[in-house]
Amino acid sequence: MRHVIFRVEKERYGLPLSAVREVVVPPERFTRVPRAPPAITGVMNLRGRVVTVVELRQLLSLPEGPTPSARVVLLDRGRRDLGLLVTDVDGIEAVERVSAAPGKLTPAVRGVARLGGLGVTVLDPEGLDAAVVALFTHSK
Amino acid sequence: MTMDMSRYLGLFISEATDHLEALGRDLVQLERESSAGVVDSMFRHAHSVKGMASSMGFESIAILAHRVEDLVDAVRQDRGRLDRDVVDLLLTAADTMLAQVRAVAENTPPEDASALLTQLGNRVTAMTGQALAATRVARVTALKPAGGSSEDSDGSVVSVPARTGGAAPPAPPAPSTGTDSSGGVGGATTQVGGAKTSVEGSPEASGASSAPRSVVGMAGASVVVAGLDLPPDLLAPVVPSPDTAGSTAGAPGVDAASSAVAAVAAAMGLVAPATTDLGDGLKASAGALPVATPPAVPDARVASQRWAVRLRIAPTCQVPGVRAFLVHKRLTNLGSLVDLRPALEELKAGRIPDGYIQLELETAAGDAGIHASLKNVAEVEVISVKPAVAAPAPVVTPLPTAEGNRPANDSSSRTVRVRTELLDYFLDTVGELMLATARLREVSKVLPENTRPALEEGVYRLHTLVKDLHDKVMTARMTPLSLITDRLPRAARDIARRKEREVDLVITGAEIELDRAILDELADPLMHLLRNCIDHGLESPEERIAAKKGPRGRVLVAVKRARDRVIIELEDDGRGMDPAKLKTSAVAKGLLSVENAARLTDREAFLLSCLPGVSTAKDITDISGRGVGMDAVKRVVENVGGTLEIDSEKGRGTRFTLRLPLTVAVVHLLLVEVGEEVFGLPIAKVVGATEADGDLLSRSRETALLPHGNSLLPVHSLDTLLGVPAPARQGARPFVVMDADSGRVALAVDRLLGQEEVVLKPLSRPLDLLPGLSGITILGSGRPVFILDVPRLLSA
Repeated sequence: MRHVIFRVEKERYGLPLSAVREVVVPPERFTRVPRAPPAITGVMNLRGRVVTVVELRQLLSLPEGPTPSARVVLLDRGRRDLGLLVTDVDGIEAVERVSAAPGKLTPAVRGVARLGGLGVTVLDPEGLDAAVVALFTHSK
Repeated sequence: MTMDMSRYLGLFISEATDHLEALGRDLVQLERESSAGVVDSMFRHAHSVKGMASSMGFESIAILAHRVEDLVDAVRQDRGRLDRDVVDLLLTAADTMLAQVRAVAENTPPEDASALLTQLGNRVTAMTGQALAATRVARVTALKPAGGSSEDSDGSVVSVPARTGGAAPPAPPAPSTGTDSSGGVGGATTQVGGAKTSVEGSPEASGASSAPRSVVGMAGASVVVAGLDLPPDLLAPVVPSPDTAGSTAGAPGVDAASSAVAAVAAAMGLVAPATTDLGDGLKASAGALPVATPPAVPDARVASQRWAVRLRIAPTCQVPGVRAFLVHKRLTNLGSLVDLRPALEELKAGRIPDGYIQLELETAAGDAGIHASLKNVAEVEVISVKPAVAAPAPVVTPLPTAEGNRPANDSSSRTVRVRTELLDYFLDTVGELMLATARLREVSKVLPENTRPALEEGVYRLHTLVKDLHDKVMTARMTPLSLITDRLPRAARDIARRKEREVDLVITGAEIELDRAILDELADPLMHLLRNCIDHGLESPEERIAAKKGPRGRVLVAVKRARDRVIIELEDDGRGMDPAKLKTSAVAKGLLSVENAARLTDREAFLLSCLPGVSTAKDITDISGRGVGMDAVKRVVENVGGTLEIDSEKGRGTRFTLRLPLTVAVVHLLLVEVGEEVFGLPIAKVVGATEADGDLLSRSRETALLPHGNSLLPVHSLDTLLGVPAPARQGARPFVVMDADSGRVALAVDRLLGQEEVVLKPLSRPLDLLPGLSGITILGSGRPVFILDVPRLLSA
């Protein structure tokens, strides 16, 4: 299956192409979402639609640190407008065999795959969605 | 499911749901006042569901619908049979079917309904005093010449003779045999029932599960045979000759037969079976029928006469298809319909040129019988009933179908079903167009003088067009309140039964329209208010009698339109609320000071019931009182831009008044700046704004107090409420005074930016999970701005 491959700092991630609507350059500033969990970068206006942008680093509980972010990967989630803030997008690659990911199980991660000799973490769009909703519900 | 079927799946789901909901409403209405019209309507709904479900291949739904049809038919024969238990049973069946339809929609296995089927079957048996078997043997033989009829003898009852000669024993209401359980399309529908029930009995028996169409095709064929095969001599001379009928060549009998098959099959919502089926059916039933019906044949010849009937459906009729179908059903109850123009499928689709229907009927009922059977069909005028003995000269030359179709098609294309998501999308897009236009206008402001006018003119034109389009989209989104109030009678009945209350629910003005978005939001609050009225508002019949009221409580739901608002009033004539108790409760909960409580008017006190946890009900009943959920009701009403008022008189009742905007799309905001962020406050809730030095304000337990009028308002700093970083401020700053749940509050902000009318966008997941936000909008500058729900912000 074809995946969009992107990076958060040095780590590589993949999302099924069918789950990605488009990749855009983030705006100069995001509108901050009051009372939102820290993983929520903010909302942006994409041609009149309001997109909630999430910092992938925090969503996947990676160690804290500034993300030099150059791109927003927009998920195609029906009427839910969700974007992932990532460092950069590498391109589209076919990812075939996905094996279990090491470490803690999280619904957002489907597994790992080998791509051009390097590892790539394959994400699960449904799981990402659930993880974002979980962020909001737990923070209360 | 193949792509081809899935195209119809959505339609099936929405239509079946409509029919089943209507069935439920009819039941509740029927329980109140028994009328033949309602029973007929119920029958139609069950029948439609059955037809749709079987054509889609959803056996379990079709079987259940069929049983419901049987039971409704039993009720139709004698409405005295209808009691609460039957209504309960039918409601359960309707609910089960709804659940099954939902299961289809969600692609999950349907719930098992075998117990329900047995119950329904037993009911029918108990009512009609006969087992569900009877003459079915003949038909089974016709279907499956090889025999094996005994194992599926639980099917419905079809009397073949009734259709063969018209003079057969069962007269129209057919009390004894339950013959016409499916009415007009009679033979055909019950045939399907037969086919389906045989599936039920032995799933593999007829292979119906894999190929329902072919089974129905066969069934249709055999019915027609029943109509034509037996009295061939009677039929032959009166079949319209090819030239008069303008129909095709070929043996007239076969032609009529095949068109009847087509009609029957069409009535089922199925494709017309191939003629080979007909041939098989002819052969099969030719052998089988005489065995089953020997006595009927001579009777038929003696008593039956052929009548040419002309009818007209009133041009004002909104549902010509339904009326025509009813006519068809009534007449097939009388005897066999030989010629029908337009054909049944056209009739059902409402394609009736100028409303004229002509047909020939063989019946022993006579013209008086025909008139009588059509008497109660509304909007149908019987033009003539004449004997048609020999070669019947057609009373009216049928209009060529191509010509006749056009106006009818026009009328049917006047309305279309549109998925609600599409409507939402239209609104989203047109809202975005408005925002884009505003953005263009902003841009034009920085252009050099000489290029500006041309652009401004274009922008102005664009703005006008977009605004017009916006209006049209909003109109398309207007939906009658009946969409949600239709569910109330059923709910009222259920609540009342559970609570052993007697209640009359009166709904007026349900045809008034509101924007879909508001309507969707209102469904739960209205249901909640209704529950409140019945649960807590109304007394038990004994208490009511003691209070010199009628034993039956009354809940009135009145919808009115007042300029740009829609007003919904929910009123009960129950025990009312006690403002003093509400005040005491609120004070006890620490939500209100004693002095403030004393100052509240009664009307303000009633609104205390909307504060979480405040209730007077505890000292009246042991069930949780009005305090639960009323806060949610108030919040929803206010979030869509409406207001809630409560009025009550002790011992006389309570009235909830919801004042709602027609649309949610446009709201007035006061824009404020906090730190680097901009937020919108709904103007409706803003009382005023003032400037003061925060450090100089007096304090009480850490909370600053702002003098406003002759009272002191608690001050909340918006930056801390929202968790937005803002630099500490010295000196004078603006405060916005707003209405909140328990009185006014002052919000400290950094800057007032002014008022703006904006297009509101609902929050999509996950933003809707955050408390204190009621929506979002995009300003002309392209900046997204959140709209705050201050009461929620303060309480959460």
